[in-house]
Amino acid sequence: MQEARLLEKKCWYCTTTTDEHFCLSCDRIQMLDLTSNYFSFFKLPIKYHLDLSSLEVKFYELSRKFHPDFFSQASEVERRYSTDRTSMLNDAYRTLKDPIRRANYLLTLQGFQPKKEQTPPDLLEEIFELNEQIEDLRNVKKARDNKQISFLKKQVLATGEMLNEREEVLKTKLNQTFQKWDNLPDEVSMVEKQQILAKASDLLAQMKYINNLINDIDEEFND
Amino acid sequence: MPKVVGIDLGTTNSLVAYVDSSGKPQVIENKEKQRLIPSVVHYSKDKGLLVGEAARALLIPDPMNTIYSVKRFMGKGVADVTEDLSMVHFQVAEGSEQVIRFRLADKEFTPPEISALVLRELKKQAEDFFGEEVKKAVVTVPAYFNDAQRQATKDAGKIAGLEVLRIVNEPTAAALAYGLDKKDSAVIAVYDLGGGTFDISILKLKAGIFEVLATNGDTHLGGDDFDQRLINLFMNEIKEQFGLTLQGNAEVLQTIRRFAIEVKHRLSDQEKAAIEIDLGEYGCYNREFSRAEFEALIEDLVDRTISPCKKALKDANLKTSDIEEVVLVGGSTRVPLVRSRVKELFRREPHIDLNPDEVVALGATIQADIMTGSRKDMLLLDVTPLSLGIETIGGVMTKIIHRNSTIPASASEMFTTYVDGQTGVDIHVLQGEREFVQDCRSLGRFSLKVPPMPAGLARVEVKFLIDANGILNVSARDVRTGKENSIDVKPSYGLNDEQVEQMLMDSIEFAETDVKKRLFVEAYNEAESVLKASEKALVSESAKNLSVLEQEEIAKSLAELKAAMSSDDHRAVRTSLKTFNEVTHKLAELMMDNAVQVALKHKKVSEV
Repeated sequence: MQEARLLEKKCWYCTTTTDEHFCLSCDRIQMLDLTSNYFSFFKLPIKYHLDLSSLEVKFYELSRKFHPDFFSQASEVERRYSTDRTSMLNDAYRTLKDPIRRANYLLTLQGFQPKKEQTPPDLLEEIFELNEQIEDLRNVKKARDNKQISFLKKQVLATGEMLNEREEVLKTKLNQTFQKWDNLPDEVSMVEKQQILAKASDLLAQMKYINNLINDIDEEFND
Repeated sequence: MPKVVGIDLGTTNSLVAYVDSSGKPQVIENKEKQRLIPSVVHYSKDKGLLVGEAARALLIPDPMNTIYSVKRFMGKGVADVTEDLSMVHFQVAEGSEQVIRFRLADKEFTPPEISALVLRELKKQAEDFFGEEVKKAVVTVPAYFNDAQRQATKDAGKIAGLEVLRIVNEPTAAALAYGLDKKDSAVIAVYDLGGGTFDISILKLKAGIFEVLATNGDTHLGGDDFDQRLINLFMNEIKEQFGLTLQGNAEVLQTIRRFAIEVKHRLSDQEKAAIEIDLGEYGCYNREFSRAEFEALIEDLVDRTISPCKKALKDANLKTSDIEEVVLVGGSTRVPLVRSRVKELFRREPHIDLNPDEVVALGATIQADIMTGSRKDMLLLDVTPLSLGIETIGGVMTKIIHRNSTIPASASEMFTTYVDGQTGVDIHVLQGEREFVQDCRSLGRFSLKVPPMPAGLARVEVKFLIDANGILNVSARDVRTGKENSIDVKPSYGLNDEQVEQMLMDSIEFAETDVKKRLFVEAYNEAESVLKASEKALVSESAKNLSVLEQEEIAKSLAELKAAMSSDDHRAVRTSLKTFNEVTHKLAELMMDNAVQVALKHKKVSEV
């Protein structure tokens, strides 16, 4: 990786030194650089907070440049580069536009593997209760007891509300944590960086747990 | 600039379109001025190969040798389509587990080959229109088609001698055709209910870019199912009233199917429709239908389209109130109940200004125009309808590319070995949303070749790439050496490259023998009518004025012509027919003179 970064990138066609999507000299599409990441692809710093509307503008602008639809008459090499570059663009946009995916990706880039879902310790009791409620609801559904169904649905819905609120709280915390990360001065110690990221990682694991619960509830209401 | 056409390869009908010099997409008519070509293929020993209207006409007299709705069978194995097969009358040959093979007379055809015959017909139609060869096309598929179904469509193009520049999703093609780009921005829902498939796509339009946010659907739901409900009802009533069991009587069933379609069509703009089916000696089955009765019959089918719509909205992170435009596509959206359900769901009057049968082909043509570089203002960003995953321990499907990801999309996974000296790694690739392998669609097995080394040392990075056609490409790289790894691909359903190549060769040969056959039949018919006329002439009074030599010449030529007619060579028939015409020239003149004399004999001089 280190070596690759030191190597000068040359245009496959005219060998001009170039580090752009297109050669500055002959304007031909360039091979996808395997060392680039989603942030660098959009020429963004590795920071959590970004402007979504300018990300979209950039995504559309680059789509108009790379898309395979515009390379159907080009050489096989260019067609391949166009597909590779567009898939990178799409993968990057999909990841960066979503706050949770973006957070996970940023952590991965910094060497933090995403954690398994984690039960928020102060919610144990409520979650136990919710699982019971869902179980009961499934049973009365089988028995087609309409009165009980609507009663239990109300209960589950109330718990769902509570979870939504909790999710909002976690979101705010995550934002604050990444705010710190985004504003870190360069000379800050490794330990401090790691502490911030570890906290973000824990928050994400809890959010994942709550999100799964919310999806479970949704499923009970979707049939 | 070589012509690139747009083709809508439909379940019931197919059509081809092009962009005219003013930039407007237009449907190409065939010689009979038809715009929709029935997606029906017939093959039998006496009639040869027929496609389109001519084949459709044989659905009733020869249902065993006439294939329709083949799109339902694309990219499927026989186990997937037992229900469909119970509705149709053509036969499936042995060994149809991975690719279905239909038996027609003495030949077998796979669904891509049948579709290729329809494509070839459309190609010919476009070539007749342009007066030049057409080699490239954009072909549409239902948005909810999986990898195997898309690949089968691409194979069909190849077998037909067409380079498929792009496989485009039908609802997105329709969105292009609607010219909604005149708006600066909008959120659009395209509801596409065709003969055999249902799609819903939610798009965001911004400054000429059509970005699909989510798509959902059912590749097994459409107007064919409405027909089947009516057919079942007719059959039950006929059984009750006349004690007749029609199951297995292909000819009668096709007649009933024709009536069912007729009733369905009429109830789209009338409140009532009556039919009368003649059952010969058993009497006549009379039935009047009200629209309400028909709607009750198909209501649950129409309601099955609602849940995919809701799922697509959820995936797009939108509420129904966010939808600003609704577009209806597909012939089945003519059914009033479908329209009212859509209106109810989106609380919006849907667009119906473009012909729902033609709008997809027109959109495909616009895409063709984009790809040839004539059009730069619009760009379509589509998504993959189904999640892609690999089998992991415990029979679990682990998703690596999620549904509704913009395509091209990719994912990389690292693989290693578990045993010392292991030389291969098998990867089972699947498509679907369910948790376990057995509930997902198997796409294929890829085996990576790895040089033998201690367990866990090999590091192979496999890249799964879904291209702009929605078709999976897999490549692998040895991380230590940076070299490409070779991969063996075993598709679960569908044809391999060699089979497609062979079918291409066969189809060319087949098309040639077919042309020859047609030329022969034409020559034979002409010779036969000449023969009939001259046999009469040879025994007439006029023949007595021929010399013996002339008579001998005619007799010799006649024998030659008859011999040529019993061969299968149209050229021989033409040559001997030409000679025969020459030697009978004098006889013909004599006959003419005689005819004039006879005519004169009965007329007064004053009348001459």
